Amino acid sequence: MNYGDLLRAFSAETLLVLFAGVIAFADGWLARKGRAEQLRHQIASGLLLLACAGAGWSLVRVTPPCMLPDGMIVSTDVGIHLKGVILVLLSFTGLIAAGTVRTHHIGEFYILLILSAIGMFVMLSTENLLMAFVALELASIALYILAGFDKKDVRSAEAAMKYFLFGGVAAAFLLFGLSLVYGLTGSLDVRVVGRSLSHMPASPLLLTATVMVMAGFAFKIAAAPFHLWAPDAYEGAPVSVAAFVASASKVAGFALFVKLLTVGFPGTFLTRNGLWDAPSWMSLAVLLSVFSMIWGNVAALKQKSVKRLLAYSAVAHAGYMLIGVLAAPKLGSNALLYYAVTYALATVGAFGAVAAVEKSCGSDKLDAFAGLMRRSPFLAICMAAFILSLAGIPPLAGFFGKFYLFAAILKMDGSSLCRFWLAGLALATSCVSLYYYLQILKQVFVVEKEDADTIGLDTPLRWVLGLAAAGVLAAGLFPEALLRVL
Amino acid sequence: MVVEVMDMILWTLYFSFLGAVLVLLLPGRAAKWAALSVAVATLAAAFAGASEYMSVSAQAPWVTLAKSPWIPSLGISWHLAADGISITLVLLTALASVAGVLFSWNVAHRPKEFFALYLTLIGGVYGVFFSVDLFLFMVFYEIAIIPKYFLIAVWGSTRREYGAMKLALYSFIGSALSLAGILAAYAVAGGHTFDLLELASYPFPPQFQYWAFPLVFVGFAILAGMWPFHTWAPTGHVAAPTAASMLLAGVVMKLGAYGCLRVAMPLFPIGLEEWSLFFAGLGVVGIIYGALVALAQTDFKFVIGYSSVSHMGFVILGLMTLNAVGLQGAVMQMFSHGVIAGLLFAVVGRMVYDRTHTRELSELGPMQLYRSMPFVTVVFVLAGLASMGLPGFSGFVAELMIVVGAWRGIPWMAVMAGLGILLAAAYTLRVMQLAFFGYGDNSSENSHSDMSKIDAISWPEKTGAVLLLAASLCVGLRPSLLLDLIAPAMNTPLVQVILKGAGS
Repeated sequence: MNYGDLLRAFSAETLLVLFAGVIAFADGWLARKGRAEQLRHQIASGLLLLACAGAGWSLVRVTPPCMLPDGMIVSTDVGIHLKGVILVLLSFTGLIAAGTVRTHHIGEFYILLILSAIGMFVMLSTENLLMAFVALELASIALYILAGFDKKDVRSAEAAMKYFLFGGVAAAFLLFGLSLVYGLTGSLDVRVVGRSLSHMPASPLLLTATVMVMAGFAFKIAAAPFHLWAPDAYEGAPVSVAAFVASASKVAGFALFVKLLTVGFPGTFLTRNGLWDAPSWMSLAVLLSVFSMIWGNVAALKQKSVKRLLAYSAVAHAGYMLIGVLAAPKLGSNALLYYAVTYALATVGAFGAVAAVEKSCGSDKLDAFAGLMRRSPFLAICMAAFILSLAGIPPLAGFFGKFYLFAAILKMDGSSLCRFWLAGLALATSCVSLYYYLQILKQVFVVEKEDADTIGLDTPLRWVLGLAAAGVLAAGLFPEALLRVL
Repeated sequence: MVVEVMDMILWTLYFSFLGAVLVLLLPGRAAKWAALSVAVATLAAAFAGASEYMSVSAQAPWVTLAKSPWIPSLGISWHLAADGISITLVLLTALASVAGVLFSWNVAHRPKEFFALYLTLIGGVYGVFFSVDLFLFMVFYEIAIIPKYFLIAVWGSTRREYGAMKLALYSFIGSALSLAGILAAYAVAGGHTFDLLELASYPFPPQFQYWAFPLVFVGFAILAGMWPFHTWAPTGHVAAPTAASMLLAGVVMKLGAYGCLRVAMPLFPIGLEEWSLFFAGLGVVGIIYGALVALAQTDFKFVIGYSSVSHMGFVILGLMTLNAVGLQGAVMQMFSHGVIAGLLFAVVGRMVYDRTHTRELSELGPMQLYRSMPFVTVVFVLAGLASMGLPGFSGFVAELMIVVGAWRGIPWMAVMAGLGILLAAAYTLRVMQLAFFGYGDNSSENSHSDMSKIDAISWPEKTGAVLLLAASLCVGLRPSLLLDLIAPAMNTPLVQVILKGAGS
């Protein structure tokens, strides 16, 4: 493979980097001219959209199938489709940000968003432990900075600090675990690692490596009990950043980890006396899933801030998605990815709606949503679509997502995972979740507020909400179309 | 030709969902007219389909209406079909929906949203009655949950937010239980299909059926108001606006019973046999308990709410008799209770409460409503007689069939059910006396003058009441009208599984 091929293989990423540069120059020039911040936002987000469109075009047209040695880059169809999803989420985030982020460093904001997306792109196409770690850090570090972007708000600084500290510790865990794996197998290529580990008897070293990797993983996806950063980060960070953290980084994170775990780590360990299937990554994932579903759903019941509520519900959804990770080695990651993508779409929309309400009322408390149906019917109906999809009500995508996940885990056979109990717990906790989701919708539709004024939506936000709601509905009505490409 | 006319019955489903969108697009003043025309159109479609079904039912008791793949990778298809049981319930839904619109004619608060949610709920109900694919079944089943919540929470009365949330959570928990059982059945059967007909012919291992049957059955029976999971029903009914409580009692509780009959029982015939005595017992407890609690209520609407629990106990008992008479009786009772409970709630919620603004029996008594509202009194007396199961009304035929069916299997339960009928007479006569005729005549003069300025009963109310009364009377005087629909359905594979399982 020569450099020309390499450039074509990376054309989408390259285009994104180039556009990041263009944004830097354009915004710097406008800033020196002393132009209004609104104009700078519009131009930067317009360029971001262009970048997404260009990258999307190059994904469809240019990118050849590519396979670098040591699994550095392995492009697959699923990976390319997920990159498309990331681009959609990136452009939605950019459009939400254009009307809501309060900062003087406008160009930097969009550049960091793009850099984070590039990290996610590499996460989606690598099968190499070191590359995966670097990509994960690229995506995360950009997000740490973005979380603290609202410099006038002390909560934003707190969000960034917490997110950074927890994320940093998680990275250390993950790197430690991965280096132990490297020490055990002598390879960074996930496929080689998988082959050697499956022949290796369980040892304390291997167990330590597994636990460390799973701990790092749990931090990144905000699974309980490693979720403590999430509520503060979601609440304090600018809404658009929270939307990106909750959606795109979830999709990329789950796609990466399910790849690493199913290919690299055997589901059962060999011992001297045959098969010993308890403490592999699967049993850890069961524990994380159970904790997340219970903790996330119960803690969400008490929340008054919608952003915190969405954060705890994100913890719960991470628990559901872990079920998909468990089903993946036998049945493929189809169910997980469908769930992750539709969840991301609903979440980005929900945060978009929160951004609109927060902009007009200055609060994201539940009662700020009171009477939303009267104040902005369009916003209210979109919000209903997102929340009901998160709650898993048909015909929205969330229902089929949950249905498919639970069907997948029940279809797995012959494992000691208490699969029926896991599915039963998931169903039970989703009943709990209906309560707090209905609390939001009660404010939106039932409570009436006479004095509240109407909420004006700017056009980009209107498009984001409308498209995300339509996407959630379409994915629920025609799941097959999405399943075929994942 | 036959197929085309039968397809018309599916328009009940499409009309309802399209109508919901249409109502949102039209201006608010036109909402009720649009909703009424949609409801009447679905009634026409339901009648057309039913009459066509009568003519083909002897040869083909099971009519496939639509079948095309939807999500092939999970074996899910858009498979709709009808038999006499589902057509009976579709007719009931159509009647109840027309009557419900008529009794909501005075909804002035956010009428567009009210009727849009109302039609969405109706659409979900039709969908459940037609679904053969279990995924599709659950989709429609859950589509019906959310509109109920908003109908009660926005337009309801007494403790509406509590009642609405309780109802939504109970429904959702019930559907989660059923879903768990259905998913387990799907996995055990190899994970190829969600088609009910194919799953019902799969021989599930008995050990699996012993626990899967109660899971799915209880999940659905929660919505049917089975004791001890009935507590959502009285609070929900009382909190709901008139049209919603008519639909709740009239149609939504039947969704649960229909789920039991269509899904839980044919899927797991061995489990059914094992558990039938137990659930029949719960049905009987529901009959007696609901009646006794109704006897002690001081709120007019709670009396009707608990009477629904009691009447739905008959449905559960009828299902658990596992013989053809009992099953037909259960379906008859679903229809009969749907019509009568709808009417009773209409009298209490719309005709009385909207004019007197109280439902306390102690306050209604002194008003001596029989003087100021003769029409309402006559309607309530007739509906009360129907509810007691007097000959000539649909309730008599239905309860008689259930008791006969129960007598063949479990005689002492038939005796207890008979006791329940007596209790029904007691609480109905009590509430009739207390609410409309009051005690003595000492305060009659001044209260009579208070009541002289109440609004007259409007034409939509009269039409709705006559429609529902006529339905109950027609079926009561000529039961063959419905039995000709229901009896052929006993030959469909899904019912044969139940009857054969019990016979062997």
